[in-house]
Formats: sequence, structure tokens, C-alpha cells
Amino acid sequence: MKKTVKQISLIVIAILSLGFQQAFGQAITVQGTVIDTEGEPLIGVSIKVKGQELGVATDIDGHFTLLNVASGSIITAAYVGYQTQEKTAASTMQFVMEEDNKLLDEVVVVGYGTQKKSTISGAVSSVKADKLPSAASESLGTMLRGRAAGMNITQNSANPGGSLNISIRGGLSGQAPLVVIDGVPQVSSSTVSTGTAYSGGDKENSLINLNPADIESIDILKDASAASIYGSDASGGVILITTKRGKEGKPVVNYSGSVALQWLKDKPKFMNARDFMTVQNQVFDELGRGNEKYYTQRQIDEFVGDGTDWLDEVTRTGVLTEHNLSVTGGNAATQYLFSLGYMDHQAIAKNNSMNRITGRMNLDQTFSQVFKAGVSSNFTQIKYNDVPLGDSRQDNSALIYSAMTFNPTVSVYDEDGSFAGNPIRDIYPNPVSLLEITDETTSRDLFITGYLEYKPWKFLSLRVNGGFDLKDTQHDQYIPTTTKKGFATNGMASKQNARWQMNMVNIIANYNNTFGGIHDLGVMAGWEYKKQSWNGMGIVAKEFPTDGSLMNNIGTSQEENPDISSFKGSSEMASFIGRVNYSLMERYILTFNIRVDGSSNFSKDHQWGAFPGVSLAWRMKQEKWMNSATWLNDLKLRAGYGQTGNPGSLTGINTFYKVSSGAFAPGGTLQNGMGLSQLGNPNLKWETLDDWNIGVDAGFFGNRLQANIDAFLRKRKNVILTKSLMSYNEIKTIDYNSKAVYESKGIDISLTSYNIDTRDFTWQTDFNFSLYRNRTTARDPEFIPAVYQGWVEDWDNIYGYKTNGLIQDGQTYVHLPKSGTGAINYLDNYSWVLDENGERMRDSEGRYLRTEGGDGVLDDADIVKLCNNTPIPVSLNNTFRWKNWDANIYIYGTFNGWKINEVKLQSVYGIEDITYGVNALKEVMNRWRPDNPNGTLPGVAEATSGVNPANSDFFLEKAWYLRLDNVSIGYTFPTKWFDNKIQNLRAYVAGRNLAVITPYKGMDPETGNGIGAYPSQWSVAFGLNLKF
Amino acid sequence: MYSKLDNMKLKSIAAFLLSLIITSCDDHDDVAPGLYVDLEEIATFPGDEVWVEGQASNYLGISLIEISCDAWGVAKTITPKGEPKVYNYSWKMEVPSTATFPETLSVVVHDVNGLSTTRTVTLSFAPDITAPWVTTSFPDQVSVDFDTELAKGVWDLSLNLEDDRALSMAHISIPEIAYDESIELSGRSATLNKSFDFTSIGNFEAEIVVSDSTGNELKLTTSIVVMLAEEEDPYELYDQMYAIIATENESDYVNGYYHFMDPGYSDGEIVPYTYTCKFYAPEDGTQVYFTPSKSIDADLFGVSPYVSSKLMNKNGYVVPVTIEKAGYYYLWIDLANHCYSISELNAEPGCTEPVLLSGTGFVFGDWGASDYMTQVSPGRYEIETELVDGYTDDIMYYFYTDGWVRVFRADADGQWWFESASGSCCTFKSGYYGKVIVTFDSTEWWASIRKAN
Repeated sequence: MKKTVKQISLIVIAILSLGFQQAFGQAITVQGTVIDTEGEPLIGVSIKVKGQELGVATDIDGHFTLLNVASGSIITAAYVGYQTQEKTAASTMQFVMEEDNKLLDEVVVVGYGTQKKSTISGAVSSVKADKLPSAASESLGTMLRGRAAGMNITQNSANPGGSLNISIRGGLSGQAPLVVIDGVPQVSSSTVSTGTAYSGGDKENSLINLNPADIESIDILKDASAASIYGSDASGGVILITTKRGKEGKPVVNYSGSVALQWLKDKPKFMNARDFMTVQNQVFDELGRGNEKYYTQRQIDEFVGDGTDWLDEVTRTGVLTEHNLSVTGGNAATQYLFSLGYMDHQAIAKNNSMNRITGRMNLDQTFSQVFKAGVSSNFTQIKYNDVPLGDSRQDNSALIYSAMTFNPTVSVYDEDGSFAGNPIRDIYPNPVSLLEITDETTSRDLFITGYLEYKPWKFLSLRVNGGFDLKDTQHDQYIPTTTKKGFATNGMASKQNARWQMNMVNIIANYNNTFGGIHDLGVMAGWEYKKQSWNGMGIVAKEFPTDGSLMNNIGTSQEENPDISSFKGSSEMASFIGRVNYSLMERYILTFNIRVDGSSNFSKDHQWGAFPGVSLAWRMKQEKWMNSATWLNDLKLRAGYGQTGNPGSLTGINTFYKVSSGAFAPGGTLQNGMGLSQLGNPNLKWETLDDWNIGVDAGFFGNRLQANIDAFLRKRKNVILTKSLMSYNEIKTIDYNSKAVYESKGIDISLTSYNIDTRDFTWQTDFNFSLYRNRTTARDPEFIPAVYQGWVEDWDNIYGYKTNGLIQDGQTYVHLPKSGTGAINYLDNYSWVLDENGERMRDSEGRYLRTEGGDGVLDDADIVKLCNNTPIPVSLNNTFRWKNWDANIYIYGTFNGWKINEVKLQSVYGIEDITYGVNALKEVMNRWRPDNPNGTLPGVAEATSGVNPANSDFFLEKAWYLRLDNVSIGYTFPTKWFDNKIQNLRAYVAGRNLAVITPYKGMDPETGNGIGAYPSQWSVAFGLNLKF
Repeated sequence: MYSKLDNMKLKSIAAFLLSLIITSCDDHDDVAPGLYVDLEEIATFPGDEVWVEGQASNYLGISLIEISCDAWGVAKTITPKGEPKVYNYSWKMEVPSTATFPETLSVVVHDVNGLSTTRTVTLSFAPDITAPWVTTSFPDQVSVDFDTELAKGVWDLSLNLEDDRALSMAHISIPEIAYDESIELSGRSATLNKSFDFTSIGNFEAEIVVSDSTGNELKLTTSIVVMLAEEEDPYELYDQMYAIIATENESDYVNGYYHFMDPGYSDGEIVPYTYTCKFYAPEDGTQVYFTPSKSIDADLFGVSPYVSSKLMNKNGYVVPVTIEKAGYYYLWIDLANHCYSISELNAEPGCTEPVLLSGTGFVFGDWGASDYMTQVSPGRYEIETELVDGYTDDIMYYFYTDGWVRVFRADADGQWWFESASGSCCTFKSGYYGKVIVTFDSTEWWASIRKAN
């Protein structure tokens, strides 16, 4: 009976088991892969069956296998720093892990080391390079515009590789930020183009040498409590760039490439041929030179079309292509990264191009448990084919100026194929002829750094870093006789070269330990030596027998005395570096930096300068009494003080002679020779920049809203200025430390919001905003302000005359004796205060006194502050992801800005030139004329008014702007489409610089301004990212 | 509102997209080209050369211009390079010697779409009403040195003549020596060379009448002054010469009184004893001396009081050269041949933009800027300013336009003024302090600092 019961029980259990198994499915074997969003396999990811103990970790290739998993079970994948994922079990699975930005405690590079973001107490901004849209961008610098609160980057010119103005927190020091790449400062260099008749424009010489695809992260040390670790080099702030390095794992190949088409943007409207002829005849009449008219009315009437559009003749559709290929991988001992980059920009101006080739090799090698070494090397070659640029006029006109203003009633070529000239006044170069100028610049940058690290204990490391940055530039130019300039000189050739080098070595010791589980102590101490050197030479020669050799056979010049120049120099600096980080319970944080710099640029008495920095942070949210504020996830208060230095012009202490033209005068005739060139000041010492910063970092609602707000106060003292000496000295100026004090106050705000964060759809918004004001708060005793200047004065004030429209018929003004009807009505609002002798009276600061009410003279007494031009940088970045689609909309700009509308001003200023066949802005058709008294632009009378309209508010316009810099949409193809042979494939299309919202009516409010400014462009780019 | 995403942008995008579908489409495809002829009637004559000029224009490119006159056998085609949208044609047509009048010249312009426009020009006969002319200077008065050993003076006449059709005859008469001769001429240009002996001193009136084939006449007269050779101070081959205005004094100036003259060049070679410069005569009858150094106490060149065309070194009685009308001139002097020429300078001003003065020693501070200079005439600027009291250092000065877009400077001695972004400045020392008038002239390329009264 018992046996029967047992058998029955087994049968029942078996039946129940079958039923259970039927109910929950069969046990299956699950095999899968875990990768990150970049397609990189993740090792060590915890894979578990939810609700069970069953679990494994992924191997080096990201693979895992789970046996006997009940069908329908939920599989979870968890990894530190990534969002945990759950999926229903299947025999083949793939998890694409996404970084948990809200939780990840990023590591931030802070100079000679790294720190966790949570323990940073200074003002540091970080930018991830892979978040920057690279298509249709030449330079990392342009990509960084608006990306970090407090760092304002503007592009001075829209030509390929055009120079940038980078200022951190207002640029109070007047120095450019120090760029440090993988721990080694980049040597500063400049564009080589001096001594030639034409210039291709200033170039960006720093960040452009980097392939953006090689960059891992960019950290910006904004306040001196952080930047003081770089001492006297850091008064302009510090930009720390960390390049990508190899990772342990099998080789991964990354390719990214894009093609962008570019078109002219916001082309100024100049007159077409018919309008030009009509207006020229009008101007002849208005100038009383009606008998000189060149075009008959019959000719105007019989004209068909618009004439020659010279800008069309010298421009084209630009094409910018880039290809980047990298291979990373390695094992536990060796990790490597090799990359190649190629970028070619055929710019919108014909014969204008830029081409960059980069190569990088980063290696890390662990020799033993205590020794590790590595090397980072980068080679960049950039070749420019430039076109002449600038606002010079008449026979010096460069390409764009010439194209805007050349006579539209002339064809490009004469019958014999030579370039047609202006039939009215043949001094202006035919714009197309300027394309025959050869202007080649090749710059090469070899940047190699290495380190050897010895770590005998876990808490102590010694590291030796060394490296050099070698930049070499060759600039060649030939102006052929087919151009006006070349014809006048029988050909003009120029060869210039320059070389800059930075050598650096440092030894850094790091001690990091935790005591009692709550005291974290980090001590860093080190020594550094740095030497910069530079040299170069150049020759400019004329009178060539043929154009055929260009600048390549300069010895054939028949010029008696060609210009030959050369230069050489160097400076050295030795430094002691120290930092202490102390953290109590990771809640109360103290950081102290100090750097002592000794520079060869100062005399022995003032050679050394010490630059300390201290900052405190309190992570308030860690306090128990804050636990109840569940909506608040993070709150950190920061305060810091630091000091950096500024060596001024670097050569102020030295008295030196140099050979120059007109150096001495035997018998009263100036001769070339050795002459005193500078009078040194041995008392000259460092400028100092004191910097106070308070800040708050906060995270709300599960860190979905993050805020970083900093307020700062900076003071620049011992400002090195130049003053005039008594006139009988051979040298008339000397550098000295003045009593002037410059000050900057401001606030930086950075917000990040994860507006929507679901599995299928995410929307992230980043907002950056900066507000600052630089001012001079104290003056040198010898300084006497102008009547319109304050003793305390904001920087970027624009002063000038107030105006009140145009002078109309019947109006005459005593203070404008040369201004006829139609000229600008400058206002005579003030008069000097005179004493009983008729002498001007001064106030206690030596400034002349003025009083309201005109005195019949337009002079300095009438100049007033018109506006302040300090920018208010702002940016807004929106990133969207819906399933495999992604999109980005990026806007940056400034909420404040003023600019003289140079295109308009130059057109009015040169209105008489219309009679010589020079074209002008179409708007001059609406100038004041007797039959158009309501014209908005001045009439011909303004040209002889004797007052410069640029010194007034007449052409001054608001120039704030918001630029729609990037609109992109991309699609990442599912890897299963490629049998997982491709880890990642993303295609995208991007529109760059699609629109600018601005009240400014001139050229681009950010880039160039005059008629000759290189026009900005808008682009459409198509790109591909591939990883396998 | 302020958006720059304007119509142009949208049009560009639309145009780009459309261009992918439609490869060729233009609003102006069916518009015939414009054609302008400078002269609707050309008056000419057989053997003449005339310019046929005008302008072709179109929205699309111009492919061909045809100029033809069947009756004259004229057929010219112009194929503009690059199919321009405007083309200024200019062709010198030779009128056949057998040409008949009136005729019609046809000008046809074709565009790239095959459309064309035609204009006609009437070719009419132009009667000859132009007298011959001389291309060399022919002074009112010439001097001839009387050689006492040979007992005669010799006048070498050399005259280059031209006519627009054909020269016919030259008739020379000098009644006092009973000379009267007609010489046959031919062609459009001819040279008349002749020597005349004068056996006594005195004034001799000569008349030359040149006639063309139609009978138009050119009458030239001159007074030949035959006298004993005038004594003059010895001269030499100077490195340079200076032109000065005789009615002014060196003490009136701080700088720029002595107007530098370059050696004269011909075919790239210096012609010894010749010197040239551009010169501004401020008033009618401006009188000019020439001197090889910055002094009027050494050698000084003027003209003989008896013969206004004879340039001589100081001999106690030379008088200044007179420039009849105010204006810009090109001066050329030849010390060895005792002659000079003053021809009008037809040059545009180098600058008409507002100009400022800068330099050292002025009241506006070293390397500061003056107010805008007054443009007293196109390209000529003046400003009144002041030299600093007690300033003993070098005074330097240059001129520039706003923003240093254009910079005008000179070599240190102030001999050559030119436009250059970099280089030297006119540099000198002066013991004068006070008000001055600084002048810069971009037509003659000269600058000066004159003491203000």
C-alpha cells in the first residue's frame, strides 16, 4: 500500500511538474552579448535571472551564457556606471548598456592629476568630445563654441582655419588660455604672413592641430583656485585636453566620415549693373560733376541682365570632407590606440582650401606591478591655399573686397583673354585676377609626450613626464604680373618660415590614502622645467623675369635690396608644484594648490613668483538633516581663492639693440645699422591675477535636473603698461608695473535637464549662460582720463558722437562747417568749462570739465558713451533619442553685442568712389538726395564732412545673435542586421549654421565685419560612424 | 522678426532641391541680349582707323559678337572668353581706301541660348577739317649762340609733324635772311630737319606753314635770337635736382621747400643731365628755379632773360621759368642742352579719402593723430597744426586713412612719397616751434610743412 501511495505520489508530482513546465516554458540556454552604446564589449557585467541566484559575468568579449533558464524568465544586466536593463529571456540576447549620466561620478582632469567630480572644489567645466557635432567643422575650437559656461569662443574670420578668440571669464588678463594636451602645454605660435602685400588672414594655431575624433574630454579650469597649479601660464585660464587611449580587449576599428556642402550665407546686396550705372550718374550730378558722366541714358536703357556678379565669379559651392580611422585594443599589460585623420576643405572662395592630416599613437605599457609607462604622440600637417583677404581699398583691394566693389559692367576677361580692368579708373584689381596669387602655408605640429610611473605602494606613485611640442610653418606667396600689384612690382615673391618649440619635463609624486575610513588625504608635489624657443626667417623680393617659377626660384629677382629678415629667441621657466586634497567623510573638502615659477623673463630680484590657490567644498546633501529633502539629490557649496601670474610682454626687463633700417644718422642721414631698440626695466615684476569664486552644484529630482552656478570676482594688479619717456631719449617708451587695477565680476550658469528619460525616448537639454563685466577700477597716477571717460570705467564701452539723422535742406550748423545737406547731423551737446582766461578747466583727476550745451564746435567734449559691448554668451543644446533615431539642435550666441555696420559705412564713406567705377551696397540707392530727403543713408556731402562716422552712433547697430549652429538627425542600424559583425553603424545628416537671429544688418555678427570680410557659410553634411 | 533665415536662404534650399530634378531652367531664357553701340553714326574717311565700341549684356552668357559691313568687306567676330553676362567690346576698324559712303555697319550679339540682338551704325564721310599738328615742342623763342670764329650762328630746326590724313607741304620763310622755301611732305607723319646760318646777331622772325592734302594749314612762328654766347656758371652731373618756387623763401618752410627731382630715364637708362618731377603750380604764372642742392646760394638754374626757352646755370641774371597756368605738371629739364619742358600732368589723385596726419613733434602727441585734413582739391590735403615748443628730437611725419587702411609715407629724407603699409617716415630736425600748415598732395606725391602766418 505504501509503495502504491509512493508511486501515485511520484506520478502526481511528475504530472504537476509537466504541468508547471508547460505553464512556464522549457528550460533554455541563454547566450548573449553586452556592449555599450559605442558597440564596445563590456567585461564583467553582472547577468542574472531576476528573482533567482542564477547569474554570471560577461567575459572579455562581452559574452555570457546562462544554462537552464526557464523560458519567460526576466534577465537583468547590471554594471557600475550604467543603467540596469531587464529583458525577457531568449536563446540569443544582446544588451546595449547606456551610461547612467545621472549617477556616474565622472573623473575630471584638474592638472597634474585627476579628481572625482563630486570632490572638485574649484570652478571646472567638462566637455565630452564625442558629444560635439564634428561634421562641417575644421577645428575643435569652433566645435567648442558655447559648450562651457564661462568660456567664450568667437571666430574672428570665416575663412578656412580662421583665428579664434578664446576667453575664459572675460579674458581679464589679456592672455589666451593655456592649452594642455595630455599633461604637456602646447607651444603658442602665430600666423606667418608678415612682409607680404596680401594676407590670407590670421589662422587658428592651437586647437586646430588636434583631430577632434582623437579627443576624449576637455576640462576647463576657470578659476584661479584650480588654475593656479599652472601658475604664471594660467592667467587666461587653462584648457586641459585628454586624448583617447587604448582599452583592454580585442582590436576595435572605428571609422567616422562626413561630407559637407557649403554655400554662401547672408551675402550683402551690392548694386547690379543697371543700378550702378544709374546711381553713378546721380552721384556725378550730386557732386557737381555732371559733365563727367560715363554712361549715357541710352546705354542704361539698353542694358539687359544684372551684369557681372563678381562674388559669383570668385566663389563656389564649398566641400568639406573628413575621414577618421582608429584602432584600439590591448591586453592587461599593453593598451594601444592608433588613429589617422584626414580633413579637406575646398572653401567657398575659389582656390581657397585647407587640408589636414593627423596621425596619433597612444601606448600604455605595464611592466610590472610597480612600473608603468606610456607615450602619446601626434603629428599634424595642415596645408592652406589662401586667397588675399582684408579691407584695403583701391589697388590694394583683396579678393572679397574687390569682388564686392568691382565694376559690375565689366566682364572678367578682355578679348585677348587678359583680365579686364575698370574702364573708368584702372587701378582696381580684377577680382578674378587675384585668384592667380599663389599663397601656400604648410604648418606641421609634432607633439610627443611620455611618462614613466613607479608605484611602490597603492598609496604612493612617482611619475616622470616629459614631452615636446614642435611647430614649424612655411609660408610661400607669389603675386604674378597678371594682377595689378604684381604688375607694379614685376612679380613679388615671399618665403617666410618660423619654428616654435616647447620642451618640458616634470617629476610628480602623488600620495593618496584614507585614514579611519573618513579622512581622505591626497598630496601631490613636483618640479617642472619648461623651455620655449622660436626662430625663423623670411625674404620678400620683387622684379622677376617671369611668373613661371612662382616663389620657387627667388634668386632670379632683379631687385637690388630685397627685404630679408630673421629672428630667434627663447625663454625658460622652472617651477615647483604642490597640491593637498583633504576630504572628511567625502563631505568637507579642502584643496590647496601652489606653484612657484621662476622665469628668465625677469631680473633676479623679481624672478620668482608664488601662485597659491585654495578652495573649500561642502557637500551639504551628505548631511543627515538634509535626508528629508528627497527631491534634492546633490548639493555642494564651493568657495575658492587663487592667484595666477602674467609676465606681460615677456621682454620688458631687457635692454637690447637690434639691427634695423634707419637705426642711426651719421651726418644727419638715417642709415641701416645697430640701434637701441628697447630700454629694459629691471624693476619689472609679475602681474598678478587674484581670483575669488563661489559656486554651487546641485542635482534635483533624481539628478534629472543638474545645476552648476559660479560667481567670481577677479582683480588684475601690477599691470604691465608702457609709458612714454622724455622725448629726448633715443627710446621713447618703457614697460613698468602700473598702479592700475582691472576687475572682473561675473556669473556662470550651467544647467542640464533630462526632460524625458524613458526606454525608447530621451530628451536632454543643456543650457549655458555667462554674465560678466570687466572694468578698470584704479588708474595709474599719471593717467588723465578723457572728458568722456570715467575714472572707474567698464571695458568694451563704445564712445562717440550722438547723431540726429541727416542734415536737411535749410539746416546749417556752426559745429559742422564742412557738412552739407544730406550729411550726418552730429550733435554738439557739450562745451568745455573755461576759466576767466579762456583756458579749459580740469577736475581733481585732471580731466577737462564740460557742461551741457553746445559751443559751436564738434570736438572731444561732445563724445559720450554710446553703449557697452561686453558679450553675454549663451547656448542651448537639445539632444533627442527615439529608439534607434537620434537628433540634436544646438544654438549659441550672445545676448549683448554692438557693432559698426562696416559694410554700410564703407559704402557711404566711399560714395565718391562710385564715380570712379567702384560698386557699393544697394542700400546707397536710399541715400539722402534732393529728391529723396527721407533717405536713410547719408548723401555725398558726408564724404567731405571731415568727421569719421565710425566715431558716432550713426552706423552702430545692436549685434546680439543666436546662431542655429547644428540641426542633425541620425539613425543607428541594429547590429543584428549585420549578424553582429558590425558593432555600430550610424548614419546622419546635419545642417550647420542654418540661421542667425540678430538685429545686425551687416555681415555676420560674430565673424568679420567689413566689405572685405570672408562671408560665412551654411552647410549640409552627410556622415557615417562605423565600428567593428 | 530679425531672422536671417530669409527668402534668400529658403530660395537657396529650394534651388538646391529643384536643381536635382530640373537641370536647366531660368526666368530669363527668352530675353534677348542687350546691345549698346557707343556711336550710332561714325564719321570717317578712306584709310582712317575708327573704334567700334559698345556693350553687350544679358541675363545669360554672351557667346558671340559680330561686326560687319558687306560693302566694305568688313567682318569681325568676337568670342568673349567665359561667356560673360556683360561684355564691353572694342575693335579698331580700318576703313578701306576704297570705302564708299554712306554705309551701314551691323553689330550683332548672340547669347548662349541662340537669341540675338542687332544694332546698326551709320558710316558717313567725315570731311577733312583738321590741320596738321606738331608732336615736338616748338618754342616761341629760340636762342642761337653766335660763333665769332666762324662768324655765324646755326639754328637746327627739327620738327615732327602729323596729320590725320596726309601731309602735303611745308613752307619756311625767314625774311631777314631772305630764306623762303617749300618742302614737299607725304604720309601721315613726317620729320622736318633743316639748318639755318645767321651771319649776324639780332632777332630773326621765322614762319613755318604746314599744309595737308585738303589744304588745312598749320602756321608756326618763332623768334630766333642770335647773340654772343651767354656766360653761365659751370655745371656738373648732379645726383639730383630740386625745383623751388621762386616767389617763396626757404625760411617759409619747415620741410618740403625743395621739391626733389629724379634723374631722367629713357629706355630704362639714366639720361645724363636730365631731371624730372611732378609739380604743382599753385597759381597762374608760378615761377620756378632749379637747384642741385638744398640751397639757392650755390648753383641755381633758370632761363636767360633774353630767351625764355634757354635753361642756364646761375650767371647773375637768370630768371625763373614761368608756368602760365596753375595746375599739375610734369617738369623735365636738360642741363646739357639748355632746355626744359612743362607738360600737363593728367594723373588721377592717388587718394581722395579722408586723410589724417601723424608723426612726432606735433601738438597731438608723438604718433598721435591730427584731425582730418582738409581736402582743398581732389587729392590735395591741408591741415593747420602746431610743432611742440622746445621739441629737439627728430620730427617725423606721415599720412594715413582711417584704420590705417592706406598709409602714405616717404623715405627718411622726404624725397619720395609713396603708399606703403610699412617703412620709413620723412625725418628731419627743426628749430621752429609754432603753427604750421602741413600739405599732402597725392597727385604730385609730395608733402610739405609750411610755417603758418
